Amino acid sequence: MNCADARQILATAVPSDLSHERRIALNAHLERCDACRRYRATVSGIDALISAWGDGAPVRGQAKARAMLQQKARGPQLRLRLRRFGQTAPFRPVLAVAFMLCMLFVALWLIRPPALSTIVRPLVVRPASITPASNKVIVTGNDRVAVTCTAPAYGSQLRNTVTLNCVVDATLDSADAGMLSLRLVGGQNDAQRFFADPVQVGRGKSTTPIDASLDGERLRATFGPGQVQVEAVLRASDGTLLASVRSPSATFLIP
Amino acid sequence: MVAHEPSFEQLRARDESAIAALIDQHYAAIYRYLFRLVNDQRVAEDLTQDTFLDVFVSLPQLNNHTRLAAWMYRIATNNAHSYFRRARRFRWLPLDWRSSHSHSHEDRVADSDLVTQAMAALTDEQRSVLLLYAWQGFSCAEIGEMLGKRENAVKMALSRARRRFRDVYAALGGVVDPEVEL
Repeated sequence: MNCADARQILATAVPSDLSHERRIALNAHLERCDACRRYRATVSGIDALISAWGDGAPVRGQAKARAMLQQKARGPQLRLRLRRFGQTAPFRPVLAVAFMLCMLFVALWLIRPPALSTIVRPLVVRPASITPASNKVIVTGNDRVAVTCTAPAYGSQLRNTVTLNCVVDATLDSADAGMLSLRLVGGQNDAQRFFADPVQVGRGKSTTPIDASLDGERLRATFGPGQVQVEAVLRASDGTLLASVRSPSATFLIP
Repeated sequence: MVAHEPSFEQLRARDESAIAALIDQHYAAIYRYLFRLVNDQRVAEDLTQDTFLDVFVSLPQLNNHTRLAAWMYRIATNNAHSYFRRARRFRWLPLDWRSSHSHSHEDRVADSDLVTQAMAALTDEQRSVLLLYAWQGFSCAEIGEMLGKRENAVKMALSRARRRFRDVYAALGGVVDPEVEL
């Protein structure tokens, strides 16, 4: 054994790990090498200082740690199980996939909101005139024109709107001919909204009630919650007012 | 009373008495090791508790070939290094700390102060290596496993740590042969 070998052993080997033969060789070398004996004294002196220094620190918190862990050993370990779930290697991919699926769902929802606009909420109706059995919430008329409107039971949640379907009954003289129009007054922002383009009524139909003969689609108006009135106006071809009727206000609310 | 060595089965099952025995056997050493690394009693106490909590969490994964002490020191070392990364500061005494104190302390206390100051001059990795080798008696291979380093890198770090320690310790007035080439 030479000095380099001996110093390598002295510096980094654990004595108990040395084989019997190497220990004998090391001791033989140390007996005849003064420099390596100095080296050993220095290294072991430093290690002894460190060792004594390490042992010199006072110990704190042992009872506290003991109580904490014993309590955990006794008690429910949900939090620890969750923590371990996240730490255990086989579950990491599962968590990663779950996270990616969540992010994908959120992205899809942001890009194209699903049919949430059709989600509806119950509609609170405080009508001026109501026939509860038929859900006719606006009824108005005079001897010539009568309007009946029906509100659905639900309003749209996302768009915050109400759709009203109305039917007009008109009793016309043979001399009457002109345009019948129906409009909504009020609603959100107090907007005036026509249900449809004015409808031509002529002599040939003068005594025939205008009922379903008006296209149902064209008699539908959508508006925001608030107070509304329905107004029907019959004008002659030259614009002369023949008949007019306006319903009392009804209140529509989406809770 | 000397605590009995808990079996791996007991530890994996987190048996209460096994947990108690584990703490009785290892708490003091782990605490002292962490205290000597961070040089702050409160932090050392917190880190020791964190270490034992991590040990507790990981107990079910323990296998029969695990060297319990080495495994716990690895967790403790990781916690300490995480703390260093978080704190980015050391609360070690300055090198001139000794000069502001009287020399009337007993030799052993004064020696301990010198060691503290000399250890403060090392990197945290060098401190870990020196403590684990010289104080805890782990081999370089075991220390390499704990620190995630090759055995040769640990041997190199150990030599540098001793050399640096010796130089600072001697400069502070500690009795050590300054001429031996480490």
